[in-house]
Amino acid sequence: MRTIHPLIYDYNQGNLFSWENCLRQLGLEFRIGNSSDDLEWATHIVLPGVGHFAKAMESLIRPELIGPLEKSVFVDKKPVLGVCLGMQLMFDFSEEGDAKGLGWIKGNVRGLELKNNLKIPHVGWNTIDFVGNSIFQNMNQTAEFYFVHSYCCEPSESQNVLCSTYYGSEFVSGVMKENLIGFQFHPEKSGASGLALIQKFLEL
Amino acid sequence: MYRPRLIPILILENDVLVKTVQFKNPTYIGDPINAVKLLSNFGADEIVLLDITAGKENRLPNLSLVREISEETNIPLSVGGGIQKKEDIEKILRTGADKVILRSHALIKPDIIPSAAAHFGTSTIGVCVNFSKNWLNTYRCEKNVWNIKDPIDLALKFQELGAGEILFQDVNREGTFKGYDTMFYYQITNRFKIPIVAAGGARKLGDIQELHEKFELNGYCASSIFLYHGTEKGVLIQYPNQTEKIKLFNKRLS
Repeated sequence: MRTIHPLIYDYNQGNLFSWENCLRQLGLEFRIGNSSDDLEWATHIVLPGVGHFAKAMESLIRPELIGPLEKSVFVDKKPVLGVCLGMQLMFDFSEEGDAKGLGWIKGNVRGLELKNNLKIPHVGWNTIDFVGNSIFQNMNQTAEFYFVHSYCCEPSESQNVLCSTYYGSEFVSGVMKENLIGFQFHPEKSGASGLALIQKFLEL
Repeated sequence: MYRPRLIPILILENDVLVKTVQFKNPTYIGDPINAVKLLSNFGADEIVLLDITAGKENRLPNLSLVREISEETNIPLSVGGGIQKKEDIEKILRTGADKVILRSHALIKPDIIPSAAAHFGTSTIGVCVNFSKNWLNTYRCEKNVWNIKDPIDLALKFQELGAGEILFQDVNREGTFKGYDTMFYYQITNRFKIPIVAAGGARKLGDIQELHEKFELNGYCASSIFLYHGTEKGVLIQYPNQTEKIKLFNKRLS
């Protein structure tokens, strides 16, 4: 059997416990950390994130962190799942704190527009529409996922769009670029449908 | 499509789950860990956990209990009770909770809202506004540092300070099975830019449906509906399935 060793990447931001909880429920051996040794050990990397973009980047771009992380991503090509802020960080720039991102995926992060009396943050359960071919295309299209965010990603290259969601207008709720995957919603907080999605990622 | 949340609100007193009437006369319901586990397995949209004596006793909810509870879920968990400062929020989030709910302390030291919102993110900070009707049938909120009397004005103030969500809690109707006070919600239409959640009085799912069709709020809290079976108040933890839930919120926010 193939070994699956997810690493919950810890950069002092975000709710790691929900991921811990979720991976435990899946019965997996996992680690929480950011050392070269952790990254070496890992087969999959989860980049969680709740909080502020600019602050998260400050912790993440410390040379002792970013060097080993980018080696795993670009040299070892390990599958990475960025969630919520973790997805946004992969982009070039965010309006939240006017800060530069990791630049792994081309595009920007902008504030959600207030339309039709819809509230911001977008909090609650919503469906996602997968576009194009991916390992996720056979997922149940009526499944709902938990969103909580005020900003959303705008990839410059449409081939990076994995799925979209409607909230007043259409926005990109998932991206995929080679070994990088990002979800705007929280699969770790989305009950059974979330677990199914995480299992798909771990099959990569 | 976006769907509002149907949220079981669970009240803790001395680490057990109770049901109150107007936040008084607690009746023992059972073990909170088990209740949350069931509700989570039934596919609840979120759980709100409030420790109603924590504030008075100047303490936080039992953190190891909250941790045990959060271990049983993979759905959003919001926790309130006795939260005074940023470190308290930190402690609660470390248990695995996703959101905190501030109330009494925010009334006297509202500075916690902007500082917590900046530190943990707006969406992590919910503020509960308790309201009741006075003898003149006017809605009143609790005493606060601004001397604001109107619950809507108070909630707008919290919004301005950076609250990510407002939970309106009807103290008169809590546990009374009278249904939501729809008149109250008439006043909030189009006045907020952050999500609004209603709590207090729901007896049946139809009450939630009615409120939703009129006002399209972002969340509806109830407890008796999810805890009791029938009029004899026999305890039975229940939650509508996905199809029932979608039907309930058939009128979608556009």
